[in-house]
Amino acid sequence: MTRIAVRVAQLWIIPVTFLVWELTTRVAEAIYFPPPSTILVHLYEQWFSGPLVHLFLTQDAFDHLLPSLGRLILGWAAACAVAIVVGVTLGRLAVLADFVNPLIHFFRSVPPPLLIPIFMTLTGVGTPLQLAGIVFGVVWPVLINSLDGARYVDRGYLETCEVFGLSRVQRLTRVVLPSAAPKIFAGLRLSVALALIMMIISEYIGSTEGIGYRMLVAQSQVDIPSMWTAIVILGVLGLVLNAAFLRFERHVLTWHRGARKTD
Amino acid sequence: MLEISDLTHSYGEFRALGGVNLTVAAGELVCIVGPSGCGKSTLLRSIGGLLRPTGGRILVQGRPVQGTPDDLAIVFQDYSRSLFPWMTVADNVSLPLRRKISDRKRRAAAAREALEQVGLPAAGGKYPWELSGGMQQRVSIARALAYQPALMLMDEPFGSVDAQTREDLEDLVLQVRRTYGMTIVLITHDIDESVYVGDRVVVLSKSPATVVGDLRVEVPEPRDQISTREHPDFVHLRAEVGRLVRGVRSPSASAP
Amino acid sequence: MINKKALRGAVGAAGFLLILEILGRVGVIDPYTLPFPSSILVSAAGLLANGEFLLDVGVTLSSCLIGLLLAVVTAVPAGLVMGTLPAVERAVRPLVEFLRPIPSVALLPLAMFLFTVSEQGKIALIVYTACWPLIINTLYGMHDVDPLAKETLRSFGFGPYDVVRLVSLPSAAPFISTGVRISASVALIVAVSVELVAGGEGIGTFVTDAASGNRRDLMIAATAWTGVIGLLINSLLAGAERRIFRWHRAQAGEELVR
Repeated sequence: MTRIAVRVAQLWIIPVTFLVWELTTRVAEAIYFPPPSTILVHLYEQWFSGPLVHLFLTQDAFDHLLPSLGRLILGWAAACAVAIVVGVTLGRLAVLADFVNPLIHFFRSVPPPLLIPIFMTLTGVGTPLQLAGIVFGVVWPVLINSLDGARYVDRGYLETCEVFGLSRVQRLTRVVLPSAAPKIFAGLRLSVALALIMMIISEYIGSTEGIGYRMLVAQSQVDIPSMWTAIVILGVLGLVLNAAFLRFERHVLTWHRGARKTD
Repeated sequence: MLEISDLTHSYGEFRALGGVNLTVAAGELVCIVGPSGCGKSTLLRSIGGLLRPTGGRILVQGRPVQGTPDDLAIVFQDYSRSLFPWMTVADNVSLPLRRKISDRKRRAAAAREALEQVGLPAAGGKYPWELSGGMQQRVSIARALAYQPALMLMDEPFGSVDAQTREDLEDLVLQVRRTYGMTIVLITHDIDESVYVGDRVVVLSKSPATVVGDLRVEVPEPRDQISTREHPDFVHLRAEVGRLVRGVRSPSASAP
Repeated sequence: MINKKALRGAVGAAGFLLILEILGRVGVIDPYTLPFPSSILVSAAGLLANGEFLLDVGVTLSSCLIGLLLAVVTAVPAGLVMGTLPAVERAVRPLVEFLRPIPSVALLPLAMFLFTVSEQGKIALIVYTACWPLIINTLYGMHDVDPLAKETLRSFGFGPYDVVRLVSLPSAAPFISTGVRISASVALIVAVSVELVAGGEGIGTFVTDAASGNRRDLMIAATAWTGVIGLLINSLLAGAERRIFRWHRAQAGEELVR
């Protein structure tokens, strides 16, 4: 058997789980747990049975799925960019970092969903609220990890820079950033999950569109299959984002795994 | 090339250097030996501008040291913390050349040539961690060579490799010195190594370190690992240096 | 050294509040948008004597604690079994990796159906969320066990149960405690999320009520207290970890959170 076949075979538990789920839900006729086949059919009808010109997306998908995704990506990317820049800067300015460190750790400890009602009194309902929520949720872990990564660069690396007269820019881009990268990536990975959580919560509380909003509507109408399709979409989204991120990280940090293996 | 006068350094209460005086002429290969923890590294780091000594004066090519002098390179003992694991070997060697050579192709050529000099013509595309310890230290040496420094400092360069590799690297240093003719100051705690590699061996005392011996090495050239080490002059010098390092009085009258 | 850092940190925090206060007084920041820090501090002090708030804090924390305990008693044994029996791990691991990235709050509407008492739904979601870091960290710890130590015990005739009890569990303990710390912070996030969306009692509900009463100072003060509580829990757990497992530098760290 080829390696791929072996790996696929190792996933046998997933179809088995689906099968067991299908059978038990059919036998038990549980109201809140429709069989997976029902959910899949509903998933197709509700979200992906649109015309070809719309890439098979339905009106529901246009109204709820795309806005959610757009805000998720925009908020996450913007927050990460800011957090990395600020974090690395603070990491290289140790004294300044000492002054803001408690503040950063305090903000990081605030459960970000609590901020949504506060933001809502400022922004009202809608996209700015979602963006603010996602940004606040994402910024702190990325900032703290970037700060730590940039702060604890091995002295051996820095002395090498000094000896060979590397310029400040070179030192930052060729040495400090790569050496902080594993730490930064750890923060980014954490932030993907937080961004998703904040997207969903902010749509539950203050939105008139988005998957979370659609899900809450389904819940209030006791439209169980619709609710489950939203759960499936969010689950797949979490799975895909996580997998894509791991793949990207593995690609960028090849050296890190290699260097660690030989240590 | 290098003039050190009355160099002192203390870490808080602890006096590491107690007035070191040393002059190295251009083209010389000077080995500095001393008991472990005697302040050898402190001395080297002061010369390299990585540490500001508490007192005394260091002149490199007639100029006082402030930060690392431009045409000085250091080969550190710990290659894993000195070579960047995220860059290929070729990038590691050519990175410091950016300031000196603006053309990318010429930079790559210089890196290639340096890697050939250290016997690693095919390693350029690899990452440091894919190489053995000895090969990584060769890369460090290649990086220093490509930089074409007037003064090369080596801090226990062969302290982290096995005995066989160590001998190969010692010969590499001798060969490189013949080709490039640069001034080299090499720090080691290995008495044999200092006599085998050096034109001169400078012995430091226990801390606070001062120079207690300065011996010229006169053994037949070219040196090689087997016959040089059994040559009577080598054996005699080795014993002499050994006594100085241990602080034992010399029985003969050949003290400096 | 530590004192200098602490001093700088205190100066930084005080400076931050002072700047906001000045900006508010001068009129750069609309006091409706952000109340004066001084008035927030007064409200925050007032909350300490506010029975309703203290009750809500108690409810939130007790849900977290119950959820966390339930998660520990289920997830840690599960991790131990998976770590001891490679066949089980190979079989179940894909399922774990499949379920883990699903955001727990996505299950909130379902939980609201299943549990008519919001308290129970909250705890259920906390258990679900807290399970993953615990399982993964336990597994990590089990993989980290020195095979030589296990073989030594076996060579002295100890059975598999004793091997787990005497070697695997103690070596995996630091990783498990890291898992507990990570789960604790996630539990707090889930708890307030449920309270914000589904109501019931708790800090989240307190903040929602303050919002409907347009008491922005109370919202911010309550949120700030929650941040302080989160910070305290995390530092207490991290401190305990450092003290108990001084011999072990847990490498598991935050990297394992998803």
